[in-house]
Amino acid sequence: MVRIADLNLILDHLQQLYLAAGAKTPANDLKTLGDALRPHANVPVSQFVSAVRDGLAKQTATRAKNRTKGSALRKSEPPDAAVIATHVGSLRASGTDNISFGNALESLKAQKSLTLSEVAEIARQYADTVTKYKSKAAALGDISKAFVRQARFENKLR
Amino acid sequence: MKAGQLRDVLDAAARMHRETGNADAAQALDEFCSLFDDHKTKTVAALATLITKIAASEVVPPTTSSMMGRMGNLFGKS
Repeated sequence: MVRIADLNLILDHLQQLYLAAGAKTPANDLKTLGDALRPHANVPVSQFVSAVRDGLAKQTATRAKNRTKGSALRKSEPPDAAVIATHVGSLRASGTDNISFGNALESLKAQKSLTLSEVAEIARQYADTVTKYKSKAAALGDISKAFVRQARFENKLR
Repeated sequence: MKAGQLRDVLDAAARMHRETGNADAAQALDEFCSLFDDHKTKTVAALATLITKIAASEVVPPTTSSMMGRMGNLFGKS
């Protein structure tokens, strides 16, 4: 019966072969693998392989399950269109009035329940952009910039 | 190095052992190679880490009696 120790010996020989050829990376990889096997030197290879295979299968299954759960969760919460429309409406209604825009922006910032996708959609609709925002702060920053841009444009026209 | 590449190397080693009449070692290498089948794109280092973690929890450690037997062998009392 071949044990892990015997397998390790073969891996050691391969490692030496790689080292002799100057291939350090695969030699180091084989060393890493050998080190992982060393604590189980006395275990028969067939027993070790079946145990590790079961463990790997379990881990793959758990990962797939978590991935499905995550995507289901994301799909179950679409952006709230009514909330988006309300905020875009109040931001637009403020026009170029700094105080009312400040109030509208503060109420948007204060609503912590809004998700990134909702704040991003508000920013896209208000600032008329197609940017894919990576954070709420970036989306809010673009809303402020759009307001300043609009106010400057209207000042120029006067 | 990817696990798929190591699998090819170990396959070649198994073939060599089989040709030199060491069927047991060839069989063991084949069995060990089969571990890489579904993880060919992982790096060997990543797979080694996974194996370490799994083996620590799944593989039954040698019993005290088997260890005593091995120690006996070391001191010449079989």
